[in-house]
Amino acid sequence: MWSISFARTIPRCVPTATRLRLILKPTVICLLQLAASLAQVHARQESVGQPRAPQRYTREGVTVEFTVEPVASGTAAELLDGTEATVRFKITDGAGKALGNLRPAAWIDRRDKAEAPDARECREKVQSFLQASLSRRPDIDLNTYFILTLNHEPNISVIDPLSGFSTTKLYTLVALPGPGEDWLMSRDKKRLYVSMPHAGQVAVVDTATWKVLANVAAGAMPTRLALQHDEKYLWVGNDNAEETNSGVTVIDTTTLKVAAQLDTGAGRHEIAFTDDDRHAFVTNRRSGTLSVVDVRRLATVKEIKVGALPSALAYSTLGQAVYVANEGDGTIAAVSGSGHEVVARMKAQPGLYALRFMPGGRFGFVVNRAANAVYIFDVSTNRLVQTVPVGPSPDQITFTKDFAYVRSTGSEFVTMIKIGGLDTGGEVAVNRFPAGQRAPRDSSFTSVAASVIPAPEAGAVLVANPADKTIYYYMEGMAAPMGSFQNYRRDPRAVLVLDKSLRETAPGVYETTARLDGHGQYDVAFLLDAPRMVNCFGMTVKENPALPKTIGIPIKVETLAQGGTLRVGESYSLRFKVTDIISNQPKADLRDMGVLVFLAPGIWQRRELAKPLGDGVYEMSFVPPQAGVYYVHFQSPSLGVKYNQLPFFTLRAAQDDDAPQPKATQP
Amino acid sequence: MTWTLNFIRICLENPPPRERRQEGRQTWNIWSHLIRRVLFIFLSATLAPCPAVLARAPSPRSELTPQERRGKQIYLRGVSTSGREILAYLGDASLEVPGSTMACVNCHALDGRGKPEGGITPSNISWEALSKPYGVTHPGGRKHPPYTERALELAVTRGLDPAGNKLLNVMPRYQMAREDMADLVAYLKRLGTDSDPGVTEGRLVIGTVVPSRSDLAGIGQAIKAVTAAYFAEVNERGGIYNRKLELKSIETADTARATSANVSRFLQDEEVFALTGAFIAGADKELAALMGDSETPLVGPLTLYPQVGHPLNRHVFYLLSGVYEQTRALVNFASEQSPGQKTSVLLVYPEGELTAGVLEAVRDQCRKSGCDPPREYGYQSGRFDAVDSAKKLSATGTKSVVFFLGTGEEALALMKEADKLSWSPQLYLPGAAAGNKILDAPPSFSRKIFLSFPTSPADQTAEGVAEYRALAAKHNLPANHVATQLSALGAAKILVEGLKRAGREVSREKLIETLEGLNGYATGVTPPVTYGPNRRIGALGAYVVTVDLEKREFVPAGPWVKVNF
Repeated sequence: MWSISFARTIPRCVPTATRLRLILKPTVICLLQLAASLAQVHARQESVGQPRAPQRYTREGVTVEFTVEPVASGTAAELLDGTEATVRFKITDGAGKALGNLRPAAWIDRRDKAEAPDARECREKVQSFLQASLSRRPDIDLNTYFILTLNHEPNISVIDPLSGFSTTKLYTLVALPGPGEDWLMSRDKKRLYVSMPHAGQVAVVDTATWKVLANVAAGAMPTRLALQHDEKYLWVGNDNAEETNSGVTVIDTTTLKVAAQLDTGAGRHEIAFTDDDRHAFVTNRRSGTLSVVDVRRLATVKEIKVGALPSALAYSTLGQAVYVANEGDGTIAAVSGSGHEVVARMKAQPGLYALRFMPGGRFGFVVNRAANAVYIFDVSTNRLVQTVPVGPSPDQITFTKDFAYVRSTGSEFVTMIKIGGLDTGGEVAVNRFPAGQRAPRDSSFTSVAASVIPAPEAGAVLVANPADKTIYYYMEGMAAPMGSFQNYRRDPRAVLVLDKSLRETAPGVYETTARLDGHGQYDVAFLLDAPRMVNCFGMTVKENPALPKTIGIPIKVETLAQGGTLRVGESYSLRFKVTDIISNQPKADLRDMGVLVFLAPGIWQRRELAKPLGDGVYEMSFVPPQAGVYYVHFQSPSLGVKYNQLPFFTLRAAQDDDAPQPKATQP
Repeated sequence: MTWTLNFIRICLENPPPRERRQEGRQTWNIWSHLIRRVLFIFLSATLAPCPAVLARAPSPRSELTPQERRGKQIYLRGVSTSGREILAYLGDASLEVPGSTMACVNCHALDGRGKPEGGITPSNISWEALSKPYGVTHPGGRKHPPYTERALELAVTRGLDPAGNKLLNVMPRYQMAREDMADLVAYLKRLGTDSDPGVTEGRLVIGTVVPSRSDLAGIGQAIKAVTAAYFAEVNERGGIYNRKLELKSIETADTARATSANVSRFLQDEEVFALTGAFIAGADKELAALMGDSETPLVGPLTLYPQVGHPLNRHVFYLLSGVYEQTRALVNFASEQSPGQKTSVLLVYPEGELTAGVLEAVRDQCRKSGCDPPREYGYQSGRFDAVDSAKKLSATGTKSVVFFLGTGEEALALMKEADKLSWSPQLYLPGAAAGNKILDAPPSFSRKIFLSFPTSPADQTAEGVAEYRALAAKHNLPANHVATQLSALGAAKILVEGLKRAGREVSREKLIETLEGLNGYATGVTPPVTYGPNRRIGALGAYVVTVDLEKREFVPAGPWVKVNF
């Protein structure tokens, strides 16, 4: 009984932990299941001597081969502190046959003892990671993902949602020459392309190093991005208001050079391709046309009058036709993919703004931002089958397996349309949930890129609300989002997910990349649910001569109890003492003693330098804006101490007169 | 035969009610109507029981050249039409296997785009993808310039791409004659662009088969009328992916063999893509075999004898359970009646080819349901001795149940004799065999007679009935043979749903794949249908109905009984 239920639950176990961590609740269920599964592990482990040679672990005929190598240089190089490494597990059966379609999980954790952990210690380690407690986190979780936000500032936030509150969730910030408008991830997830209309460029970002590889000049107002299926060319819409220089720029993704620039017509452009990449279709909003481009020759071969203000298009694999939604006359035109003729026309209301096909491709969804509705049409018959009322000024639509999500710029509510019963002819059910407090259009920074995207866990989405400066995590079936991630005072115009968990890149080979932080000995804990395998491999990270020397954290911080209450709206002075950890003497007169105070879960924050009062005592003041729990972090750049390196404190503020005494607790 | 014709006359004279009646006494009408309908098909099926030699269908015509067609054969089957050997060498060890075990289509699919399997995504080998002027960069990083014909040969024979890179070793290397290689390359350049017969830019030809006999003309009329009416509705709404459905029909002949020849010619001459709602009773085996040979999908044939044995005929999708499957459902039902104890089954049957299959079904299902092996009492067809049988059977004891595979009249005679011996066992018979005369059975058999039906009036939903009525009114459909019309309509709806799911680039194979994906699809006029790679009966199972002899009505004996093979 156990083995069956375990096999089913563990793959979900890790994401469950992820989800629960988002709302800071430990999970016991996974732990219990794991304990049951770990009860009888008898395994053979081969030597972990050579740090860079492949390490193997065999149990019941199944072998896991572990390798780790630097991303940057060849296999001969050492693993260095502060660099990216590729972690790879190759899983084979007794006959050497690759075992595909498995869901392994792995963690990298600093070894706290001289010798490698034995089987029991390793099991305990894995157990503690699955438990999702705040006290015991691995240094690197290889089962996680990054959330990327396209900001109103010229940068992209890379957020690691799994980091606890003891460290900042902002993994890194990618600086761009200009604010991004649209973006796309390559299929292998190694590259991120970002259009920057005001910079006239497209940035190419390496997602392993988060460095900008190139800024490619891409004509006037480069806005919409589209990648061909074979990813040979990146197509950029040049949304120039003039007739000239308005069209598409085609960038060769191998050379990152412009392969062609075509003036297709005036106005905003949307781009789609046939399945075989033979032709590209480009809408020209002001011209009211659809341009057909021969991809082999990179030349326009036909211009088709499709209607007034074509504003969206999508290619239907089932129908072998491209569907164009015209905002001006409210029609949807179907243009055959081979003959390039209008083969059908459906009549809806003016205001059509977005068009997408649901998974499977049978039904198209068209968003009308004027009529606040979504039309559903059947590609097999080219007929509208249903009209669904949605929130005010809808402009985007995204699908998960079971739902269509419609973002309304005029409301904080996201509309959900259940798509399950469509092919049996049933009426769709409509629901909604609030993604934040404010309507997205309260921010002036919405973009054409998707603001609602499926989360890596099935049945969940992430919603970027620029007005709230927050990303919300919503799970299907709930009345409200389960959690949120703050975007550090930046308006998130769009959101993307970069799944960093182990992916099967070749039969039986599961790999991902991770950034190694800090030199020393590490254990790489590996877990496979079926067949059950738990093992800790070894890994050595060398000191990086290129990095500034980091020494141990040289100071400790204690808060000093003081009178007065922590009341909402009233200034509160926080005093603390800094001591040199080696000499145990007060560390006075630090000019850069920074304090970060934020209100959980990151709704409000304040960063300030503390005032030295002498004898190692410092003070900073802040006014708590609302009741709740405040986290206090400290840093001193001159001593090389970052916010996430020192223990944090918590403070509670209350609204009432009977507010509790300020309580500083050491975690 | 006179009896059959009389029965048909009754059917014609008593058209089934157009309106669906409500509860109560009206149940009788509905069930008895059902009995008539099913009985009718059952009798038709016995009209031509003689086995016929399979008529071999010529290969379907397509736009391919003869060379391309030969190449297609290699692509699909891994064998040469010339009979020359084709060998495949597998893996690093170059294990030699016949080409037929490693046909290209297995991994690369019909359209050449590949079916991902076991973590491997086969390359897209459509000529459009291979010949891109800028070459191809594969997800793993492998790059090569565009393919030429010569490069294609090297990939097939040596496992090298145009850049000289080794292909993944899951791609076998093939050895074949130069002529065969030329044929294969010629077809590979057409891969994904050739279409099956009956598919053109603007239309899709669908066929049906109707009975030729003048006394069954009404049935044929009904099938044609309802299918044409439904297609007209579909076409009026824009067709399917901008193609209009065109219905063509062919009549059966006097013998199964001649029918098969007729249909074969019809498929070829009219370029029929698929068949729907065909009347195949009497030529069940022959037409099913023809569908397999000509690779023509057939949806919802009207028959009581679905051909679903091994090897599976992939091309025929039946709507309802036939006599075999219904009898299995009856056995399941009977063994559930007395849980915990083994049911003792007495099997009474007329000897003959048709009942042989039913006997086998009862024996097999008995094994699965845990009843004792049935005790069998065969009699010569048409010479049932009710007195003697009643005597013999009653001697077996009171706990046994009787499965009766003869006619309704014979069953009635048996019950009357048994009643005289004060013996009234549970009597199971396929609903198709019972007639309304079963209501004249002795009262001691009240609620002891159990009949199986592949469908029930309750399967028709309000929307389904409304849709049919609208169709009937608009297209002036015949007022009789409503049950047949509903079956044909159900078949057409399943076909259309399959076509809608298959997309504009439809092929017979794609249609079969999408039909296999139907799960609980509600036609509204039949039970919901489910098919699968190994399942060809849409509503697999039966309703069991008992007879209340005091009130003279048919009463459902329980919920739908599923059949597991």
